[in-house]
Amino acid sequence: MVSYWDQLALLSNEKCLIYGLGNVGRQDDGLGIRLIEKLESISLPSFVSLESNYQLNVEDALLISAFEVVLFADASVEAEAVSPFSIRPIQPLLEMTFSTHAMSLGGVLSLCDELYGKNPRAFLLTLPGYEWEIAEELSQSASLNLELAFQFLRAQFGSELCMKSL
Amino acid sequence: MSRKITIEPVTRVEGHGKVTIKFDENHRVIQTRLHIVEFRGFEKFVQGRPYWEAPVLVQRLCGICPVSHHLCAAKAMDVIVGTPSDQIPRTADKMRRLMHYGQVFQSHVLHFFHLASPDLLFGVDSDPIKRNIIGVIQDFPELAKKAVLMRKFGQEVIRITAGKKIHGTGAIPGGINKSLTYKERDQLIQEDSEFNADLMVQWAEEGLALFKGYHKKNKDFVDKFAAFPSNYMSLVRKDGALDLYHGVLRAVDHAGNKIFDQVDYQDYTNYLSEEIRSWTYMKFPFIKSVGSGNGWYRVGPLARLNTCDFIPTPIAQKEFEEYKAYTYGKPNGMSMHMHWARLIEVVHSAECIRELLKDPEIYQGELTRIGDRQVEGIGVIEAPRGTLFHHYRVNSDDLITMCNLIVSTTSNNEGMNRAVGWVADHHISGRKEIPEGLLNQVEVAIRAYDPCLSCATHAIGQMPLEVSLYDSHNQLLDRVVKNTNI
Repeated sequence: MVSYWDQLALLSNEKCLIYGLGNVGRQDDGLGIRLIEKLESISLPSFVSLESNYQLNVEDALLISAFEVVLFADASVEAEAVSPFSIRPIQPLLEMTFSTHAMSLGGVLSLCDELYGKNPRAFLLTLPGYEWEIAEELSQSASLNLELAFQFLRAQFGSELCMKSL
Repeated sequence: MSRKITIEPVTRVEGHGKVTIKFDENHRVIQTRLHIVEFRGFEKFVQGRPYWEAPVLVQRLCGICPVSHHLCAAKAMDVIVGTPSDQIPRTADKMRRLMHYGQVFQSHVLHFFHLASPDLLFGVDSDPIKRNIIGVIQDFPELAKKAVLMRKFGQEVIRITAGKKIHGTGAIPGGINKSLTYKERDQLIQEDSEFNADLMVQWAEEGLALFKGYHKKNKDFVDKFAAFPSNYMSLVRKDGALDLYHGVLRAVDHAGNKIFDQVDYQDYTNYLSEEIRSWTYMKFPFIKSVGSGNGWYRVGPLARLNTCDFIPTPIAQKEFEEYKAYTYGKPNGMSMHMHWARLIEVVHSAECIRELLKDPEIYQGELTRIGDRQVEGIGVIEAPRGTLFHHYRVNSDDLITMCNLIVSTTSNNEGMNRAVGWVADHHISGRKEIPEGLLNQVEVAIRAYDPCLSCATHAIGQMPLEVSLYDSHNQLLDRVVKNTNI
């Protein structure tokens, strides 16, 4: 489930961005944003920055170019999404979108590489979602996934896997 | 044998579009329909909530234009608290305008540079592998970098006026919750900054020059592609000037004759109605006096430059004069000229932002004004994609009891249907297979209107574009899919 955490673990002097995506007005779609809200409520190491938005866009290439490591957090509708959460690496990927006004993770990484010559190590923390109606409350299962992911990150940032001083 | 072509972004919730094109037995197009699943459920979501929450709540509607919904709801709530939007304090009016022009600027920039410029720089029939933002970066890196910084500039304007990049709280019923500080302003005007207001005006002009250069070389395509007459509607300032934030409603017909003018938008239901059609949940607004058959209208940049008399900033006005001269002062019905109009609005927005940042009234003054409480309020704003209506009723317990929204993509519903119909007529009729490049043409036609198809969830697992060909028995004959997995 978290086999990529070793890769994600920060090295000395590495700046890390945790970037939550979603819409909290659409129930579980807001999981990424909710995770950032919870992280904002605790004390994190100084090298960790937090950001959130509805979706990614071109200017995020500039934002992530300033970091060595980026951990995106987003809800997933995919049936095979692993509960309570999973972490996997993301690679730059050329892709086309149709009038969506939003970019994919791989697209933003491509943009970052092409425009600024930067290739932050990027990972996606996927939180399975189950309900997507117009409401602000998370489903019960999604709430549990969120809490476990939050506890995991809080523990990891305080553990020896995180090699920076806190 | 009739055939049906389906173009369907397979998203799991609202916010996606689907195109169906039907042939008769001789493979002639007999019907074209663009299906967009409208975002109606939100109106229920707002009911029962205190009215002052509306400007924040409505930002959940859309991740693309939350500021437009924020300001439009605030304008409706101005009426509820007894202070119509033209009576709120000057500082509040200017802060809201700055926020709005920041939104329009960054939205239009995204549309042109990210979505439309690949079509223009590489040609609409070019390989999709090249015809995208990465292709633009590889061949035009400086242009791409400027586009990113323009987006960032617009978002910084939003952040300093709304309080946050997303879920801002700046506009409140009767005014605004803070004025601008000089410190906030400085990052947007300093000459040595990576972006500043002067540079934004300059780069906006460069974007416009890019379109005009393309137009000069491709007049036949730009002028003829999905060109058709229609009615047009927008807000205009009382003196007829382009005003994206506030004004009166004006509608003109294809020849430029005024259908109505100087209409207080509190009375919009006397002038507009919405038709329901059996094949879609999306409504079709129309002008009552013209009727449902011919009363459909277009909104957005093309419409705004057809309804207004002039633009109240100097560089944009000069461009407007050239634009209007191209059609001898008559309304412009050319869908691809939407890009031209949009880029003139980018220049205008940049000029407005520069002007507002220099205005001392934006830094101090009265922030809110409250009058006699009302039970019903309507807000209207020119969102980047066109006229946006928010209509609310509030009970004596301060709770919202009714909410009705007309979003610009709804108003452009018929126009987009006709644009796709034009493509079908010109590129599919008489063919037995899905022709190569069909997706490109359909995309270009819809994209000109910059419809907001992503006002729903976005979570991983979407597939945005699919073309399927069916026979009269709904048997699948052919399918083309565009996938955007991460």
